[in-house]
Amino acid sequence: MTAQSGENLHYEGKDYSMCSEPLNQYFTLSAVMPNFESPSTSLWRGYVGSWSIIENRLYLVNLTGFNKDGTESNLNALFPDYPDQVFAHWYCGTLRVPDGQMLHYEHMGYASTYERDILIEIEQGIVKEVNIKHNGESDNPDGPEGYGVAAFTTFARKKEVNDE
Amino acid sequence: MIDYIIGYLVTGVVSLLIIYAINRLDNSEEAKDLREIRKRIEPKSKNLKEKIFNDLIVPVIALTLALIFWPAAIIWVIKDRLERRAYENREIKEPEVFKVEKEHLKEQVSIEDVETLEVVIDPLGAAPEIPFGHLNSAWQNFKEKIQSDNELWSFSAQWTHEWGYKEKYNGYVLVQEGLPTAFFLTKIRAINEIT
Repeated sequence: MTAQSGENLHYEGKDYSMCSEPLNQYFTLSAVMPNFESPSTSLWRGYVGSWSIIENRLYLVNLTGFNKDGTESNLNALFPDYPDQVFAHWYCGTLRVPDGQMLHYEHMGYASTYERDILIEIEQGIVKEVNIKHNGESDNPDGPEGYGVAAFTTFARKKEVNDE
Repeated sequence: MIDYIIGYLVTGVVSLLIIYAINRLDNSEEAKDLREIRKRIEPKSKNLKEKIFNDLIVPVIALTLALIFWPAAIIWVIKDRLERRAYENREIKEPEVFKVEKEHLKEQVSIEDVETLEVVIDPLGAAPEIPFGHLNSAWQNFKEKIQSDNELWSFSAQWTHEWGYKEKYNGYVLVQEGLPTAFFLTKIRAINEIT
């Protein structure tokens, strides 16, 4: 599988790209399967969520979902009464947030490694613990910082037109 | 000696002709796909030199090697046929689906207790202050399955996904005549996450 684009996370005043997909648990627990399709090989899940940790709680603050009919969904489509932010109370797990320079690129899933991983342990949407895992130091001072994808293939998307 | 060599080569020619005929008559989807792929990837000769090389020299070399090593070709064809037959006759195992077992049951609860305990409270108001918050619809769907002789229990279970990773599941389950039936998942936790 091609390296995957991460979800966006705003944490302690900084923007990151994280290698975790908290919305997947929502889809499993709610038995809601969205009508998303992959727009490219680096986004098999068909959506990109933007998250924020506010006062030790995880919130979904934006969403772009690529629908099979060629249209796009936003947060309002999934959570109609909460267009601005959604408290992710369903989520239990550890958010992996790569930080620093890339040490090794792997063109598969979230397998690339970075100088540090910020590991944010979340229990029912609430931050329980934050740890930093040090993976090494880059010997390339001009190397890219933060998680990213090197290459991907985009799929053509058709927008369905209803004849009237 | 010459007779043996001639005999070996004649047997080789006959065997290769039989193999060729079998392959041409093979109408399986796999064979058709392979022929299609071959047609697409075969290099197209651009000039006379390439044409002579691709259409004459390569086939002659290939045929010569095949004639000399025809027993290996027979063994390969037989092996391929046997493997294909075994693959077609394989037993297709359906992936296991999680279900709650008796040993996963924790304690019997009431709907009222569950709905009091599981109200989601968020200071920013970004979740409905109702049982299970954004998952309330799924909870309502689960409640519709409750029958008069059901007991409601909480459960906790460890499950190994078909892809090999382990998860811990928590939730509530209906128990009928001592046996767990429909369940409602409230929490999924990967086991052995990055630390």
